[in-house]
Amino acid sequence: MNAAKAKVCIVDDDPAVQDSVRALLAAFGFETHCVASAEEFLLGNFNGSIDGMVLDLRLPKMSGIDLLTQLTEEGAAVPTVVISGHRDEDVLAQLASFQAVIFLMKPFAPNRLVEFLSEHCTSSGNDCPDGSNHG
Amino acid sequence: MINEALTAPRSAYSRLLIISFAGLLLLASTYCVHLFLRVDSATRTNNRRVPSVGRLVDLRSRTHDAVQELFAYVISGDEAEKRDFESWTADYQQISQSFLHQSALDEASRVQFDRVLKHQRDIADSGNRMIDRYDQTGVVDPIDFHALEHDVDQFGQVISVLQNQLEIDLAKSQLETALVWNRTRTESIVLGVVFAVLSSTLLVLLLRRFHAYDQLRDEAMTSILESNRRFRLIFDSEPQCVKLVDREGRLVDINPAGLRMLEADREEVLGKCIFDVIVGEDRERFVEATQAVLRGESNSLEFEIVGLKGQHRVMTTRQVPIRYGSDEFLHVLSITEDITEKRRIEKQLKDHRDKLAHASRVNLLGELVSSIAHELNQPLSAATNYAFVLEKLASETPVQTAAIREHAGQVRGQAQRAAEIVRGVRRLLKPSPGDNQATDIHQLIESSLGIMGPDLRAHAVDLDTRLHAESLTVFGHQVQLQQVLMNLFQNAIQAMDQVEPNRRTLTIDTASTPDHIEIRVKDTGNGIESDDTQDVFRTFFTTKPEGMGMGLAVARSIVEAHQGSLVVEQSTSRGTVFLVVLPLSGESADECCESKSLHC
Repeated sequence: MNAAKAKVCIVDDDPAVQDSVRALLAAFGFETHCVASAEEFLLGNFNGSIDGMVLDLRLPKMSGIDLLTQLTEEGAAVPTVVISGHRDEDVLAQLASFQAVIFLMKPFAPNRLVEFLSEHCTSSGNDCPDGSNHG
Repeated sequence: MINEALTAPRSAYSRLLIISFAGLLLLASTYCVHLFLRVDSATRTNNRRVPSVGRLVDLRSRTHDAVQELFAYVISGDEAEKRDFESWTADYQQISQSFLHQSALDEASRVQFDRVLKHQRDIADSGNRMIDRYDQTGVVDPIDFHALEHDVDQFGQVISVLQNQLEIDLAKSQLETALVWNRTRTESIVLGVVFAVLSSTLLVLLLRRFHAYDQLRDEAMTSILESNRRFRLIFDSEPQCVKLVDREGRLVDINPAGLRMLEADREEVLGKCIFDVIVGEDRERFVEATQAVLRGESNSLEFEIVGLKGQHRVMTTRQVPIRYGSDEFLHVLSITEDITEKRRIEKQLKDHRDKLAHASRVNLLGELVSSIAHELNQPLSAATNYAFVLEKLASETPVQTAAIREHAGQVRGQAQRAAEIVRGVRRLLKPSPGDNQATDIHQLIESSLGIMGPDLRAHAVDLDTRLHAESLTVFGHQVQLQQVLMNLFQNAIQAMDQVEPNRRTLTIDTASTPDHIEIRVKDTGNGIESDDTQDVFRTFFTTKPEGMGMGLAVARSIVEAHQGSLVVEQSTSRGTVFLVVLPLSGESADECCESKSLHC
């Protein structure tokens, strides 16, 4: 079955994280796109074209949570895995108000990330890919 | 107060004056005696002369009586008359002698009286002859008769003269006496007045003098009592313990404050040895200090006591020696303060400071740990992801060897990165305060730049160093300070990755104020866009695959541990300036060797 792959955008300023998550998701059949900051994401105009997001809270200028808030307000929010090295209670509380968002602390179990995205994102008009695909 | 000079009161007349008056009085008394003697002698003379005439008359009449008796005998032949006459002849000398003795005649009168006596003798002789002849013949011889008559006449004349003389003398002495009396009367009145005046004046002088001295004594007494009372009041009111101790350490006196500290009544402690209340460890020191004071030194010391009811107090005392006029120091006066509370508060403060320091350290450590955790998280996260992928790849067929190799390499790479971080942490954690030394900032900068040379070139960053003319020294941890610098340099380099290569300049500027060193690390990046430039110290927005990997939070902690500060001085779209302020050390630095620098 050659279903269209779900597109996931990885927003993290650490190149190593970007790379490893990309590799991870690619291995599980996701199409990925990486940006290094919230601003880059917004500039990239991904509205509507992505199915999921892996978001680091700590970003250079606008923080991850602000981005998420903005997207939610715009109605452009997609299922998001928020990753962070810190466990900030305030942020967690805020996250609870979003839909389809989970919080994973680094170092996270990769399978949880994959499972969540697999579960929650559908490719635009397509079914979610199964785990057998790779790329 | 008690020390006012006690001068003689003005109303007390001088001793000289009083003595003069007493002297005058004595003179007056002497004159009085003189007067008395004068009167006495006059009276005595008078008294002697008064009876003289009478006696002389008596003598004359006896003599005449004797003659009459003789005549009566020769006329009548009466034996009785003869006997009378004969008794007169026997007695007349004695009588005359007695007269002489009693009358105290002067020379002329004596001579005259001798004549009288002679004539009496003549009369006696004549009379006796007559009697003899009569007895023999029974007839009076006219010769004897004429002889007798002659003697009697003679006697009469002489004794008249004497009598006159005596009468004149008597009159004279009586007149004289009257005069003396008169004079003396006047003089004695004067003397009496003088005496009265002198006495009363003297009495007044003495009385006033006594009164004045009485008053003075009363004033002195009052003054002494007042002074004593005042001292006692001070002594009793003094909130600190004031006590007097003798040479053996026995308590001579102690004020109520001191009694409270001893938790005792006066009777319980007076006379007892004060050393007994001092705790064992401090006692010897205290005894020595007391001995030193008795030798003449003043000193102060701190010690602990146990009151009679068991309460412990920490005391501090100042001691001075006391002597009361003699050469030897008899007592020790000490003022002792209870500083138990003060010490307790000091200890509490110290505990708080220690806790705060500990908390700061913990904070620093906490920050350190959190930054380490975060730094390690990155490679661990990445490695985990790659490993997960590897697992998946390994379970697939056909085996994608290339992919597997690639991902395995990446896992290794991330592990290495983690290892570097750990190494960096170890280096950071190794040093101790003893590692602080005088560090030359310029040398540190140059060695850091030396390490980072490749990075600068790789990122096409131009370098502009504007170092202060004189060398600047910080007393601190060389390795840590170098880390801070390199962290800042790294940040600057990476901040400029966003701009065109030909516009990347890293400027390092050092300056000095009287007390501090200022290091400015300027980049030409796009600045920090954040409402609060403090964010940059929390956000690790430049995680570095190479280099130390220590965040700005740690850098700031290090700088603050050196009593300095790390702030964003400026952040515009044209670049950012980080300012490091460190306290200037006066010492000069040792050679900051390259060999000590870090290998990363």
